[in-house]
Amino acid sequence: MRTELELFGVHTSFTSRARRRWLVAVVYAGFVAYLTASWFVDRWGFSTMIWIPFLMGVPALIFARLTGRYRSKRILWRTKAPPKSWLGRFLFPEDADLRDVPGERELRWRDQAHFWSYHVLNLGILWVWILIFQQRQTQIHDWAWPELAVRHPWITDNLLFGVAAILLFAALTLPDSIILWFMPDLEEKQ
Amino acid sequence: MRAELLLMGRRVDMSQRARRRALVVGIYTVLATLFVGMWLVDHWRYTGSYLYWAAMLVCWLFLGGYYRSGLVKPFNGEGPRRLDTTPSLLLLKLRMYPAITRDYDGGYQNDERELHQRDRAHYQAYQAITVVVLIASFVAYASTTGHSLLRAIPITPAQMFYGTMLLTVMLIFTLPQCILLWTEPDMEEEG
Repeated sequence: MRTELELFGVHTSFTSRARRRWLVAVVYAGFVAYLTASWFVDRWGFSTMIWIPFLMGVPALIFARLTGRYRSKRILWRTKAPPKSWLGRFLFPEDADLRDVPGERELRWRDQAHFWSYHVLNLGILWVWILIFQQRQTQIHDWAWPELAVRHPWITDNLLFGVAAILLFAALTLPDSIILWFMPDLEEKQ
Repeated sequence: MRAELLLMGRRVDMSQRARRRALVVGIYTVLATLFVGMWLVDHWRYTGSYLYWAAMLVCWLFLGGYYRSGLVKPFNGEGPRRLDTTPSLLLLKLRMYPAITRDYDGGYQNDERELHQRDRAHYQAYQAITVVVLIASFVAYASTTGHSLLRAIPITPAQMFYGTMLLTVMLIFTLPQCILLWTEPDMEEEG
């Protein structure tokens, strides 16, 4: 795991767990606040949800950068540092050492974080599937037994896109958040 | 991981990796056939839930992980709640009761190596699930915005989204166990 983050040329130390927890809390609170606000603005319509890929991508990139989760893959596939994209040069001006191989303990943390995230995601996916199943059942009842139809007018395409976005955000950030949240202060380790 | 499968009272040796791989291929072939078949029947309207129950049945009979039976030990490492009670008459008649005597002495607990393998399998499965969730989100996004790419496909975006979520549900309950069964070496070599 990296001890500091270089963002727009500014170095910020993340050795303290408290600071990492603040980052995680701010990112999640910000995402929830944006979703809540956009629900009231246009019920998760096009004008507000167009920004969702950006709002999901940037925190996921920053979290992954801090935990260094993609290092081993780069080592496997490349012998030297890859050429940077325009966005990469803009976001992370000074690249860290890509040959920094994750240790056994770090891999253990990573796998455990994915195990717990998997079960959280499992519950989320099951819930979304039940939601869509309800919607489809309504359609069947409408067609076959209109008198028995249980109407769910609140299940709209926009709502389904919103929950899909929440699922994707969770899938992209949850393992890294768990690592950032539970990894002890890095000074203590040394 | 267990070396043998208890199926309708019969013990099937699954210590060889080739046999376990054949089981994984068989399971996914059946699930894929069901997935396509149910689409042809009623576009997963009624039959969507059957696919969920099929995945659960596969976990219960063959894979384990989420159940105490099956080849993979329970992920949470917990044994049966009522070990000292006799199985019901129906289960006895059907020869579907679990082999309590063999597993009673901590057979449900994962050791350190098994815990490591369990977590690694979940890490690998997580990557695949994330890709499927990404596809589902794209479909939902395109359905909201009415993207022209989806108009070219004869399936409605709502059906595509439902199908992707159905696929995700089937994968999420079976993938870690299948990765474990696929990657574990022959058990004789290990011993």
